[in-house]
Amino acid sequence: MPTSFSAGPALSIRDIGKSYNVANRRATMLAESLAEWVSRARGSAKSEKFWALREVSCEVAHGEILGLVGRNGAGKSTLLKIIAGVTAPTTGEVDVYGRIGSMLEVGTGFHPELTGRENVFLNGAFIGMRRSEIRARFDEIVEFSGVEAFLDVPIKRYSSGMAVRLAFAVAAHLDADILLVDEVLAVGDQAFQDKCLGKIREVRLREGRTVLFVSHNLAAVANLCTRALLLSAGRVVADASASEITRLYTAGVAMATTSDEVDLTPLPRTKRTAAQCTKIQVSAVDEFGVPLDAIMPGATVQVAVTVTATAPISRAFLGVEVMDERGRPAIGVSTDMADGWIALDAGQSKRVTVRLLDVQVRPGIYTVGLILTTVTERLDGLDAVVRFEVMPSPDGGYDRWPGWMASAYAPRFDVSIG
Amino acid sequence: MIEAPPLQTTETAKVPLRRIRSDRKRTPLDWAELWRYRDLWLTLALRDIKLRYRQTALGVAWVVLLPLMASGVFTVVFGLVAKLPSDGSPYFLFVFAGFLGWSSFQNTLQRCSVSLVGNTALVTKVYFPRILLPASSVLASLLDFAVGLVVFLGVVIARGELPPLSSLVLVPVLLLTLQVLALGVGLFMAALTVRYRDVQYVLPFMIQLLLYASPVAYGLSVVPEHLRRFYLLNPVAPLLDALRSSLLGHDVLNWPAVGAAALVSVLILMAGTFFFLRQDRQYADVI
Repeated sequence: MPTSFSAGPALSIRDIGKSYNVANRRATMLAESLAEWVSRARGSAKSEKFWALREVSCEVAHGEILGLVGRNGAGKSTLLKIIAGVTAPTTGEVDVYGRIGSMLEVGTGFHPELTGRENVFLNGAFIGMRRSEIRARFDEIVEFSGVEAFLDVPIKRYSSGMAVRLAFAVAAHLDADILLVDEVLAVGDQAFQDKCLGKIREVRLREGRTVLFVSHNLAAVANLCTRALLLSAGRVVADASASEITRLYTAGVAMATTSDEVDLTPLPRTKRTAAQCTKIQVSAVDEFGVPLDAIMPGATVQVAVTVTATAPISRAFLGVEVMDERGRPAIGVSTDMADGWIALDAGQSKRVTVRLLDVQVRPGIYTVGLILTTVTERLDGLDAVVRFEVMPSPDGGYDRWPGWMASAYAPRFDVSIG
Repeated sequence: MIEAPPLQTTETAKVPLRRIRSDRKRTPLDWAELWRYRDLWLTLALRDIKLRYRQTALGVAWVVLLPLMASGVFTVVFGLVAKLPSDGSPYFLFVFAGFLGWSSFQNTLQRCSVSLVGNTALVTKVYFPRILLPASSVLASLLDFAVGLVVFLGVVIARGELPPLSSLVLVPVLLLTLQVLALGVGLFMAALTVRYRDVQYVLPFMIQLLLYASPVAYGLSVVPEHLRRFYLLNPVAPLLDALRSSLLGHDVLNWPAVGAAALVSVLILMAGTFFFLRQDRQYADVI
């Protein structure tokens, strides 16, 4: 049962820091380790520290839904992992007043060979539930997930959406005081996402649970969270209401002008992979590819991304996602949809140009995110690397009408009355 | 670091359920937490047992088939060709009884050593007492032993040679001691494998070596008297020999050595636990 919540925090985070020793990270062979020992004994060890988190302090009250916002590598997930107890902090301490249930990447506890039923028990056990508790809630869990028909089929035969539904259902029905939710809503269809958000809200209202919520979906953060932290390069740069934070986040992204090429190499990455997006240029072009001064509705927007490989890759593809000011996806395309596959030798760079034709979106600020991936491995993922403004076109009519509840997409349309 | 809970409300200041600190060198052994997570221990063991024989045609039969096959080979090589003595029992039964104990030891040790690196996703994503991963392998080995034991007793009863009860009651005690030893060594291996994958290559070889240095193919009685004291330095040897003797209803030859081995096993388990918990905070970062 959730412990009663009256006064006092659910979480008290004080001066949390986490560093990784970059120089030593690869010393996984005995010989290397010995060499390192020797050099340390001689006092010549150069230890290069990378701070994934630094001086993070925050109190979270009972019943709060706290959003964590920031780019990839800002430290959101690291913070959740420290609170969950998965990894140990380098500095500081966290007091946890209550039972923690974590949903760090849903389905982590799932085993593909086991059936849905077996996995419910397994996953429940990982988040600290007793078998009897799971049994008591089994029907509720299954009903929420909507996969009744496949309960006795191995998970490997599930679609990814089905697996996510099941995993979320287990976690949401857990008796925890503090729920850690990391990027669950990235998968699954809109209806199920809404159902999950509703469940999180309900859990808070009815049972007074505290929720820590990491998502790239700014709209979800703004809708759901009572408060949010904006993290950048491991530090908390703002602690405010969720809507204020989402506004700050979108505003903090570099503005693309038509001639700029933005260097992406300094952005933090969570892991080292064979290839990365190193540069991006966003511009409006005319039908001959000549850059235009401004992007207007109906323009051809050219996104040129330089991909650089440190090791050979084949059959990679690039996804381009454009979000509106509220963090709602407005455009999403990827090169494989047009049969565009990227192959690179080690050290080679290629420029991948995606031309978005006839971009009928409303005037406003948009941010561009990139995903570079192969079928099996995600090579690079960057959200909101650059932003651009779509200017109102001269014949735009009432686009700037105050109070307009704008969807991002606005096709050309006509009206006939009578 | 600050020790007092930070927020003193006007009401009684609540004590945190858990305090995550950076100035700890090692994770303490938290019995209360292990007790809370006891179902996970069981579930992990059940998962491994279910997984092992999924999509195999013969299924659980492999639990018995492997020691039977190994016993068959040993019977031909060491019983028929090398003509090693078997203390009065048929050589095949003698080796089979030896293999029952040996397999339980070897299985636990091997499963322990890969229990962390084989579950990387879990270790880096979910919190639970890590020690449950190696600890759950004991249960699977016990189950394997039980299945093997049923087959063994079936054969023995069919031959009308059921050993006396006074001898059989020693079996679970000796088996558990053997598991304590296997888990103790396994905890070292599990922690080491996280950092040095070399262990994965060295360990099978060491296990092979240990098989020949332990009384499986032969009995303790054939080890020359003047070498026996060195031979018994290997704590597996007296335990395995005593386990087999109890299964076959023979007299246990060297009780003092068995007692010493049991003591060593407990000490190794304690040392292994300490070693494992000392690395505990780094697993998610290093693995």
